Amino acid sequence: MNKLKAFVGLDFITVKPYFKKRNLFLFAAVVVFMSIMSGSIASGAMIGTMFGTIFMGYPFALGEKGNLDALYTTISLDKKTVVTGRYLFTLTLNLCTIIAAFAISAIGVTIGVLISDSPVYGEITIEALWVLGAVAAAFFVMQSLMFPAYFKLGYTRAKIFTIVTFIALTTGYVAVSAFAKDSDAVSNILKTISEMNNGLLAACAVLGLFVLVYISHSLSLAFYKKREF
Amino acid sequence: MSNILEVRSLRKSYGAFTLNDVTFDVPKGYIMGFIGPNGAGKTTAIKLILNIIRADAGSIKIFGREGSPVQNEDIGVVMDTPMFVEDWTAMDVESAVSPFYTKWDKRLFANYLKQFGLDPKKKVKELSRGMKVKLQIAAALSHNARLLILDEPTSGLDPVARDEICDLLREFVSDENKSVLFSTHITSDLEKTADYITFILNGRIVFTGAKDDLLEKYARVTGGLSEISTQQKKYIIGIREHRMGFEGMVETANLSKLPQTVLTEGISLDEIIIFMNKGAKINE
Repeated sequence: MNKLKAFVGLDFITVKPYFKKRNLFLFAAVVVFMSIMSGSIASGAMIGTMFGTIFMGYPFALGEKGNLDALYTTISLDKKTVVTGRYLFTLTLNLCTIIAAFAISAIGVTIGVLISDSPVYGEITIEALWVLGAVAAAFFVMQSLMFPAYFKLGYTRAKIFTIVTFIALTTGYVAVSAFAKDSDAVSNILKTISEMNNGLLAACAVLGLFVLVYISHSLSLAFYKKREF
Repeated sequence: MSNILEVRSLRKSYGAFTLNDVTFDVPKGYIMGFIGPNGAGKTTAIKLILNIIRADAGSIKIFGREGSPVQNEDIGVVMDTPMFVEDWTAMDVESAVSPFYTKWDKRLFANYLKQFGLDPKKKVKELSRGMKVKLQIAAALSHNARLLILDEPTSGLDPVARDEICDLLREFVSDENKSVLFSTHITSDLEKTADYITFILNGRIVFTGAKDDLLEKYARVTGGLSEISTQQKKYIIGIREHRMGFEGMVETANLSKLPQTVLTEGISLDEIIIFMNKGAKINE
């Protein structure tokens, strides 16, 4: 457990030089801008979550450049600790980003209310939290798909795969949305989902995510165990 | 236990290259030089010892136990290219690696940085090659390691920096419970520091033993072409013929088989590598 904690710390030290004030300011400015423009916490927070996802690849990229995978062995880290630690680090980074993005968005929306004197502040509702939750879930799904590729191929070779995954998910979303308009079956499914008890829906989503992350972690570990550096 | 490291029948294949039947020991309290030309298999063998790559066959015993990553805590590692993020400072390096060593000595690390003239706030990418090696050495020596494994640490360094590193290694083995495995193709460093030599060529161990035994095992021979017969040429390893005559290396046990008119001299480690390599190519 201590080694796992230390590895999460090591991942943080790995990406720390890139958490520059300039980058963080840019991140905050974009989130505030989006929140003011849309009057919605969810859209600002969505942008914030996207930033988090961009950072997610950094430990892999920097690890490859600095030959850190070999370092992990020389400091007596087994491969399970590395894989589990990387997932934990990403989870921590995601949560921090979501909380920060949400807080900064709230500030943005408040500024918007003060500037425009409109009642958009009312949008800080349960609905906004749902949107944020859905966005976070979508990014968790994307990360769960990308991580096994990073562990199997390394950052440089897996980059193309991650771009393809992103395009496939976006295209899939657009296609399903378009198809849903004309399809009674899909409409019925969506209707059933929307009529479900919110708590049950959230529980199903969380359970689904857990299963996905578990499968992703197992695949990553299996791939990483076979890699040599 | 008199050996800190025991490598037995190690085998690893990489496409066309095979590290085959690699067997050697690193005795306690001594410096083992690991020599061979580029591509001979030195780095592969070191990566196998450190468990960075998996062996196809063979065994490795470190501190008397079968190799496992956990034992790496007692090993200090210095590789040709530092295993650090380029934007890390020396302070970041300490923060990154120290939690993994139970015997990390913060004060010792600070002392080494001071001794090497390393600015703790300077980034790895801003350091010269020599300074990068010194930063790795500082980290390798700050956790009470009993075995130091260095892969080409002196390549690309000026003679002063190389001498400083050699001094450090000699100081390290002044404790008779500590040993060094020092891979290099700059053999002059080993002539000054190493007690033992393991010589690898084309993935096979050609010699392993005391340095003096290796230097006594071979001799450099020169002479006129008319002085030796075709049969006698077979005893000369890596023979090079030119207008004035020939030169090559011969096992001292075979010296009596050559004519007395042939000039024999002592040989350096560098020459042994060169003649062995040439001999291997001739025999291909």
